Amino acid sequence: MLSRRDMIGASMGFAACGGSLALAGAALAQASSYVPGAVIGGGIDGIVRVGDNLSAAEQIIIGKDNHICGEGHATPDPVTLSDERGLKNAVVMIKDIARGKPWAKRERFDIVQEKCVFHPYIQFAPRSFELSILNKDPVLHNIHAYEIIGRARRTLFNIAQPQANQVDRHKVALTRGSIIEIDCDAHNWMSAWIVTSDHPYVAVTDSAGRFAIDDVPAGEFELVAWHPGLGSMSTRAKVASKARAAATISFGA
Amino acid sequence: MNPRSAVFALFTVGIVAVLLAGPMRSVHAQKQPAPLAALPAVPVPPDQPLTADRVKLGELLFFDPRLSGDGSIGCVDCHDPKKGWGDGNALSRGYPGTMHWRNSQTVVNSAYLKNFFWGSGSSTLEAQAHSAATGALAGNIQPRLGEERMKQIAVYVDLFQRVYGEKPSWEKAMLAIAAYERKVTSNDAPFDRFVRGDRTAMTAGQQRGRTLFETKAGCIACHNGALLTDEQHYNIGVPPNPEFVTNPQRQIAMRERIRGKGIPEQVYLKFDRDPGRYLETKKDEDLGKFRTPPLRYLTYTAPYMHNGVFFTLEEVVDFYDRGGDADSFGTKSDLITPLRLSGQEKADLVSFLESLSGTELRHERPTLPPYGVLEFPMTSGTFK
Repeated sequence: MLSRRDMIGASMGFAACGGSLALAGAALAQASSYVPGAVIGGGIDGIVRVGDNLSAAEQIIIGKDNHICGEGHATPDPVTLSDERGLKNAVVMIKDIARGKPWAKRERFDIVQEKCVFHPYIQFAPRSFELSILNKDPVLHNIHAYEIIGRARRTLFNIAQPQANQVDRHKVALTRGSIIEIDCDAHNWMSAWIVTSDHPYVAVTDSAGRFAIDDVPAGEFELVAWHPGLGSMSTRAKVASKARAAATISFGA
Repeated sequence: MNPRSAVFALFTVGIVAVLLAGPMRSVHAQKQPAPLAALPAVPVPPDQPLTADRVKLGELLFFDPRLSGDGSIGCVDCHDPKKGWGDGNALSRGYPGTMHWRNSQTVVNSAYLKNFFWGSGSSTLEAQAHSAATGALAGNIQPRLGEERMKQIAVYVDLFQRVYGEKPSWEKAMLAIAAYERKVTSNDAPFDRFVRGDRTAMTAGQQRGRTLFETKAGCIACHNGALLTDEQHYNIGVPPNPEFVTNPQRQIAMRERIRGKGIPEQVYLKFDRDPGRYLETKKDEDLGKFRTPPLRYLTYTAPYMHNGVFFTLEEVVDFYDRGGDADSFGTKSDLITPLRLSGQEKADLVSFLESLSGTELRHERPTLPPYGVLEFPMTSGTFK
């Protein structure tokens, strides 16, 4: 069993993947005409790792509602590593895959605000969906979602939720970007992300930094990993029919 | 004719020819614009030297959300280093429960400005910081409350004593924030290096774009000098942002602000968009006018215009190329006319605009000091 080491709030010191959302948007740009069909393919098992070159953590003081949110400092975008330096909560995506397995798209996704933290921190979704937003805290939260467009961002919705257990639902449809940034206007350390995709070949790494993508058509693909605190990094993976390919994506040395 | 004279003659003929060209009319109808130039040294008030302690205090206060009414939004939340020292959004987020109706501008190189906010509502960095921190749509704090909070933080008490020789005060806090902002400057853009003599710093396309900027496109009429702004006010026919048009809270925020300026309802209810500089002067001639924004650090400060309606520099250039959009105030500038740029010319202009940005100024968020523990006389006197 892995004993996890929490590199809360660390960020990479190397410029090539310095957490740029603009770079991320470009890296995660996808073909928009995905064609689903029967696939007799293989799969990819992989790990996302992080090198030693981490700079100081970004921490934000918990300046209000301490009886609910806790004391001290919080980290908007934690970089959580295993003992083997596997990176938790990286989104891994096959880039520009035009056809593949059928995708039973979920139409509804959830996000919960509890103890002034968003759950889940990161998830992936189709380019349009309904988001159910629950505030479990007896304090006002103000969820503010943005579509990332290059270096800019555009408000998707901005909802105040003053009541505990208040639920709101909101239709989300992106126009130009592929990443959704979620803040709380009432608690500036709260952060969550949704990466959208035109195809189902996406995964989020587990606490060991591992991921698995199944039913991939045979061929060679670019595999992109993205983390909000680190930016993006890619590798190539060659998949053969009825076989599992191994992939390692490394941020830094 | 010797070679030097021949070159001079050709140059003169060229200038005359350019002056006679249609699109140049608007440029030269105005007074001669200040030439583009590298940035000079940062102006610093003699009584506010940028000492290490003063800048450190200003840095901590800039990042501290406790200098807002509900303790949740600091200067940094609308001027985030990760977002070009703006907030990256088309329209600024505003104080919790509100939604601002204008774009948040970058702090980078603001030390050089004489007019702050889109309508030039403040004339110093210190006044801007005060106005933003206390404004209902931004920091929404009473200065007295801010002072009391700072007095409960030992690190601040110590720093104020060392820098100003007194307890924390709101006035000195604004001075310190301004001192910190004077350190947030960028002067290593390819354009700067080119002007200083490095002829390899700008590509051929960027140099062609500069020529267009100064001639056919006429940008220099307003975007001139080292900061690429004349700090004057113009209505250039920027279209309303759909987010403003469709979101009542954005409109409420604008009308609250207008009403707070003493402009009567029968006047402001007719506005379908931001009246701009008019808010400050209440002169009809200023309706829909906004201060020319500086163009430095532009690559990092999208989206563009007072309402963030354009997400890319290409969209900005297309907007100017078509002569701006329709105006509802009747004050649109004569400078804004169709440019008829070719595709290559548009690309060159964008390249030049990109050459005005240097290294991205990333800044690690400092770890803020906690509140101290107050000891009230709870067991004596009236608190017994």
